[in-house]
Amino acid sequence: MREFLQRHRAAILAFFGLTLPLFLLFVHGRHPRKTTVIEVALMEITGPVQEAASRALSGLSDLWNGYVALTDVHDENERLKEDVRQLTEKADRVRQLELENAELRKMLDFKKQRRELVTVGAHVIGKDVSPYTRVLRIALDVGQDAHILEGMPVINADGLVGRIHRVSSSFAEVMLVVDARSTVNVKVAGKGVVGTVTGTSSQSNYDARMSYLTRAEPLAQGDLLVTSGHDKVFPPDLRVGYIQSIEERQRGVEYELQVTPAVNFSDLELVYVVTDVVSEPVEGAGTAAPQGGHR
Amino acid sequence: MRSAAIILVGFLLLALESPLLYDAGMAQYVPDLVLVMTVYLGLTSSFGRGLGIALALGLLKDGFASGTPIGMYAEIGAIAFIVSYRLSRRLVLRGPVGAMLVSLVFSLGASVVELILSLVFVRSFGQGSSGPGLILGSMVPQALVTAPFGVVVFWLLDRLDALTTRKSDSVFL
Repeated sequence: MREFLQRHRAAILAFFGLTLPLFLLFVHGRHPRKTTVIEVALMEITGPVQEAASRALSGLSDLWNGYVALTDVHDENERLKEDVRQLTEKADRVRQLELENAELRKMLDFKKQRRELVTVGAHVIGKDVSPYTRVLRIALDVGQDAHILEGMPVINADGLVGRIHRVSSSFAEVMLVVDARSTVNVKVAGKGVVGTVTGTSSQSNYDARMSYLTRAEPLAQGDLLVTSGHDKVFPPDLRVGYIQSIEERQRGVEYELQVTPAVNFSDLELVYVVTDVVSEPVEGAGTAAPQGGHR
Repeated sequence: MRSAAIILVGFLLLALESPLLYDAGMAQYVPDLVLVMTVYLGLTSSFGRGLGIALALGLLKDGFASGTPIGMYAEIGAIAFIVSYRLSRRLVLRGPVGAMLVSLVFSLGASVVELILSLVFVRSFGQGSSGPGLILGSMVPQALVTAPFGVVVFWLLDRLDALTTRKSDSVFL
């Protein structure tokens, strides 16, 4: 028997190998029937693996799709960045135009009030800035070609900026009111006090001081100082500054007060050089064009 | 060791092929990887052990294939193993082309066997979407899809054999 099995081992195995599946097929091929133990066992074996494989592949698929989506997001991000850059540029230009417009409107109002002033408009093209961002000197894009001369007052809508210090054919440099070399004859608006404003500006602040001899009326903090016109350099009634503090110091026969300039020197963009003062307003005088008027 | 490794590989391939091919839009023509493994076993294994593995793989495929009754692929596997085992004494297989050719022929043969077994044993065969037309219509595309996978599976099992039996040279490729 054993020898028989050994001799015909392959045939026996083949027989069982072929008939067993056929039996299973016969049992499971019937219709209708109940679920068998073998089916349940196979489902128990294959189910979790199928689920895990499906999840793993789904995860990979999601990862891949996520990667592709991220690539799209990256492209979109680049596009949006470019849009933001362009819009920011536009917004900056609009903001600049708005500021310039406001400045021009202010200047226009000022010109309407001071029609006797013949001015030449100028752009500030250069500023010497200290490490504390204080402007010490400004340069203008007008010069002798526009009839600009040394000593001419420079103003903007807020008040007196300074005077032309140096001039070339096309450019001019301005000595600011707060420059230590600058002296302006002033009066306290609405009060009978006159004096001179001298620059005391340092690198850390814009300041000036007012020196005066007598106090006809008591002064107050915030009192407006305007040019008196006595020095024959600056036209009268240009705003120079405000009394910063009423704590006065006596220096010899003079009293001194700290003054805050009327002009924000850090923010100068457009200024006007007063080339002439006429008693009767001149037609066309006071335009913002650099070729403005004559002294 | 080798038997367990081959069954495990077959199990993993069966688990992965269905969702993988579904995602790839190839669900209609699934390569018969288990059949190719069975052919490889027939060409390389001893009869008893190879037949046992072929039956186990066939049963696993029956478990994964929801449309066919259990025993169908076990039977096809057993037949494929016996035929390939007999052929291995007369056939010397060399290179990828040989692997592809054998896979193609066995895939066509398996479809024919499946058709016959279905006609004989499956009572519901021919109802609904299943039927001889479906098997006949898909047998050639399925064989063409299976053939290139024959190279891959043969190479994979060759590597597996090299690992488990410390063989250094490749049998087929």
